[in-house]
Amino acid sequence: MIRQKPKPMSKRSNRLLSEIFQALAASTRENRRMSPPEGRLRTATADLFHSKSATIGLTIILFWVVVGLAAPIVSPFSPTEMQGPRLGYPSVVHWLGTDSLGRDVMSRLFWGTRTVLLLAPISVFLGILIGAPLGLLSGYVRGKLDMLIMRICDVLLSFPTLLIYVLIITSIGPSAIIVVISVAIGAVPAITRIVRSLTLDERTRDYVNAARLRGERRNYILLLEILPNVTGPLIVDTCIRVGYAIMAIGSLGFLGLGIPPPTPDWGGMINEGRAWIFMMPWMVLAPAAALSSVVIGLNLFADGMREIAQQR
Amino acid sequence: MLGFLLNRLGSMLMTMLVISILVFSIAEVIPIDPARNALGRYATQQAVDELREKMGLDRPVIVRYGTWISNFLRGDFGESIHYRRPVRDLIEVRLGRSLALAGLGFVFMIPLGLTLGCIAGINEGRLLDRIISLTSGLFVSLPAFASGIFMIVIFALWLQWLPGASIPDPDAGFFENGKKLILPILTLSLDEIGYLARLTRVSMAEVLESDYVRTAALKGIPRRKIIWRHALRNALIAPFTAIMLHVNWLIGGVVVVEVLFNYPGLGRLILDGAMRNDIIVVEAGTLVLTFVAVSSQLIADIGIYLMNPRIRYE
Repeated sequence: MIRQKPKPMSKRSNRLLSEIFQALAASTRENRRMSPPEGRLRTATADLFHSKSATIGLTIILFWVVVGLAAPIVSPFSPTEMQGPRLGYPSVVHWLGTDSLGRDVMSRLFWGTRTVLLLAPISVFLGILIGAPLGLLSGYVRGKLDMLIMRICDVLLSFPTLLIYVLIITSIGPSAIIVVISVAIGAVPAITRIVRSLTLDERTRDYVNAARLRGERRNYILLLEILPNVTGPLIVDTCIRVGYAIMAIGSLGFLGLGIPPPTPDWGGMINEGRAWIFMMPWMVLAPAAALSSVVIGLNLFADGMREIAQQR
Repeated sequence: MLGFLLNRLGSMLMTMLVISILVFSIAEVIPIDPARNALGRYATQQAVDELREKMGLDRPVIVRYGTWISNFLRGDFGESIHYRRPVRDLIEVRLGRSLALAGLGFVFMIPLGLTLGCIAGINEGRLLDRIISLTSGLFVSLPAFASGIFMIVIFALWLQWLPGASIPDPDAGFFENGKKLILPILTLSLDEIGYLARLTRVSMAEVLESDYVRTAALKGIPRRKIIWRHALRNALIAPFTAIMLHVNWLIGGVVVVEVLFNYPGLGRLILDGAMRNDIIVVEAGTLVLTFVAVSSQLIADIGIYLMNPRIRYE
């Protein structure tokens, strides 16, 4: 940045200077807001436990995280090998019976936690990695680029998401990576839109003006000024979006387009057990209930966080 | 009005064009040779080559896209490899069934979702609101395949009130076939009801806190009248917009519900086509389904425009 020599003060430049000072002061204020002093984390957790839905949601999520982490310890059997009779009824040994290939349903349920809790956040993260920069740029730069990006988003959003998945997966073939990528692609337009609208709100704030007047480069303003200030709403949105991703991965498994067997996957388990729903409903009820509870947990947590944000 | 209409129509055509290119190019990527697929593994290479020429697969991509899309626009969707029948006949029957399912779902979910949301919004913070909010939050969190499983287990297996599969029987009466649709419609509407109720609740609560409602209250107009005459119309705009933009989500739900209940609709046709590498069915089905989605959005835009003259599109 080129610094100009101080000119003799006129009334006008005086006003400009005071404006700059005000903006700079605002910027440090805002900066303090975004880089929290030590006590803030503690108040944030305290707030979290004040909200009933956030506490319940977090408990459910943590429960499944623990189950996923402890899957090798808590599952009585291997999830992929034959352990007993085909389509065995629940017994002391096999609490949820065995599936059509004689595998222990309970072990598959526990191991399936890993599949869901790993793939869904990864795909959302991937979606944010693509969508957030696009949204930031679109909202900040405006003009033709903004229009182009938004039009593309509109086109993608008017296309039924499930059909995107079906098309991608049938053309390349089902695998964990393809499932993750297609779910990420499905999430990108919505993420771009949300980040854009958040950026539109922020770009006229004083701290952004201050950074601009300081002569910061665009990418610096986008990533270090605006992005930290939109993370709050973005995290809430991410929670809901991970829930959507879990539903999407589950739906794909259910439709037979998910992670290929023998990897345990809740959606796939429902698909495999569907034929016997009238004989052995627990085989499909267990994964369906597990999957629903994770999504319920995430949504409750997101609701709670939104409540907290509104109370502030 | 005319300018707005032309604008929306133009963007709809653009969307369809882009999506047709997308669908076509994805089918292009598939490493399976349609000619080989049609003739089977044991056909000679010569026979395959002849069929490729007959199907026009040896021509450049752009020419093939051109013929494909112009045939499509003329109503010639090609012939299914698996069913060995014109795809158009298949799609016509299947689309009718899917639309019936989705339409009945709409008729069921919209009044219910809006009413629940309005009741919750008017009683914000009270017990009734909490109950409705909790239930709708629960509904939103249930993916269609899971809630469908719960419904089948509860209503078909446990209570035995309703059939668990929905294969329409042409010999059965209207009532008998209608009964088969109850569970699919319930499954399809459940999360939409939750979604709509939540949106309407927020929208209603916001409107009731707005200045004009306060002014009306200060003028001494009874609360019941304020809600019916002033608040309702404005509170319903946001959810109405949202539900129409949610048609894509609904289509995903329709596919899942059709598979779960063995209902032979368009979603299952596309999915079966995808499983059997019946590319022509997948292409045509996807394009038709997207057309349904995009045109429903156009209708929604017009509806919103008529409902709320304040919105002016640039």
